[in-house]
Amino acid sequence: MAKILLIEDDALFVKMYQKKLSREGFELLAAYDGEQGVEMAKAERPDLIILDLMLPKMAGSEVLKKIKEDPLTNPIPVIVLTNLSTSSEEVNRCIELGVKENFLKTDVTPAQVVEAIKRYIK
Amino acid sequence: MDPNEQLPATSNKKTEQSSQVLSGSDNSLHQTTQPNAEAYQKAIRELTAANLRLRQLDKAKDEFISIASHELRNPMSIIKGNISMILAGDAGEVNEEMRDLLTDVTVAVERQIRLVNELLDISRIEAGVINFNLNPSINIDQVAELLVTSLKGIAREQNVEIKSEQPTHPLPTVQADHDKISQVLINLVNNAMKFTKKGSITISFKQKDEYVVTCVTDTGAGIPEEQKDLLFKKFSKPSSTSVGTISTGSGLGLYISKKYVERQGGDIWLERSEVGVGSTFCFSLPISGSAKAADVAREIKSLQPLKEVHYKP
Repeated sequence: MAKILLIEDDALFVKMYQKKLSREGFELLAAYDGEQGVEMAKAERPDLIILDLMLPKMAGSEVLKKIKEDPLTNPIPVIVLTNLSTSSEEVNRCIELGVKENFLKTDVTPAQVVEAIKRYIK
Repeated sequence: MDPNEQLPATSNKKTEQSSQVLSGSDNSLHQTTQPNAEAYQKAIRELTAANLRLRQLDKAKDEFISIASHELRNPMSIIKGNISMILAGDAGEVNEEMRDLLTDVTVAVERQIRLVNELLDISRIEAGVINFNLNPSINIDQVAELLVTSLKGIAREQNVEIKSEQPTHPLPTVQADHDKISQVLINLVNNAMKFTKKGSITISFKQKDEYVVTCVTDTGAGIPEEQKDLLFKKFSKPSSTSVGTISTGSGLGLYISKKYVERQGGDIWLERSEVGVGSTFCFSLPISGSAKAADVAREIKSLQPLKEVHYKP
């Protein structure tokens, strides 16, 4: 079963994705702040990471930097799912560090995010 | 003692001596011009304090916007997401009545999302923390062509023809932020579609001096004289009686468009409008490599905010 790590501080948002992804046959792991996100990425080595950017303890771009610096987590595809618009500095930093796709949370439904996930893991 | 170790000590002594000489001359300078120097020092201190205060204010505004984006958008994305899952049958069978009601909720949430997006755009513009990713050469006719292709289906359902005119001779490229200029064009075309019940919407282009002018012409309701002055103001929207339709927009689209175009060195205006005949809205953008384009690029670079967006609950 493919493993997805969701780094997201809003419990209701996590619950929504928990339901959708388990229905689609994925295993979902959740990290509720940036530091925990980095730790879990290294310990669990998921097949894909969904990253929120406005996180407690560590900003999303910093989390992404740490994931990209470690050769073991570097190849994991990352999708950014945030409330920050594409014109913000934080999103641009992430694009430069290398993300597969980035979505504004209000623009997409969980079904659309699942479609994106399936582009990177079978 | 190693002679090498003495070297630094000797050179230090020399520095001390020379600095004494320097401070000595500095003192005499102080004595002769003391009142001015004191005023100068005071002004520097005041400016430094004022500058610090401005930077703190700037940071506070930026934090407000990022927290507002987070707190306003998160609940809406959860409402939208959960309803989409219910409607898709993820939570069990949905009957017609439920589908009807949930669809209304979806429409309302989408309207709310659009409003929040527009309000955030405005607060970013007004706080001066909006980023413009200037692309040095954009083919505006190609941007329009893509938009027309994506809207053809919806327009046909509305019995309106939408087209983008081929420029008569090759159009120079413009310097602009691709996303923001698409947003301006989408806004003008959406407005045209909202107020056009039959006929056509045409996007056309022309070069005027160092600018490319893009116009959107419709055969719609038209704008009464007394409302023309209010068009680009915040929250302005035509009263429903005068255009024979109920407007559901926030009245922020043209205001945002105006701010976006102006920051990119252009202008936006109502070219002409006649009740019952239709309207033409135009905007201009500086041609790539023009003096205006260089000015704008320099200005935007100097205003670019350097921000850490770190959300702390």
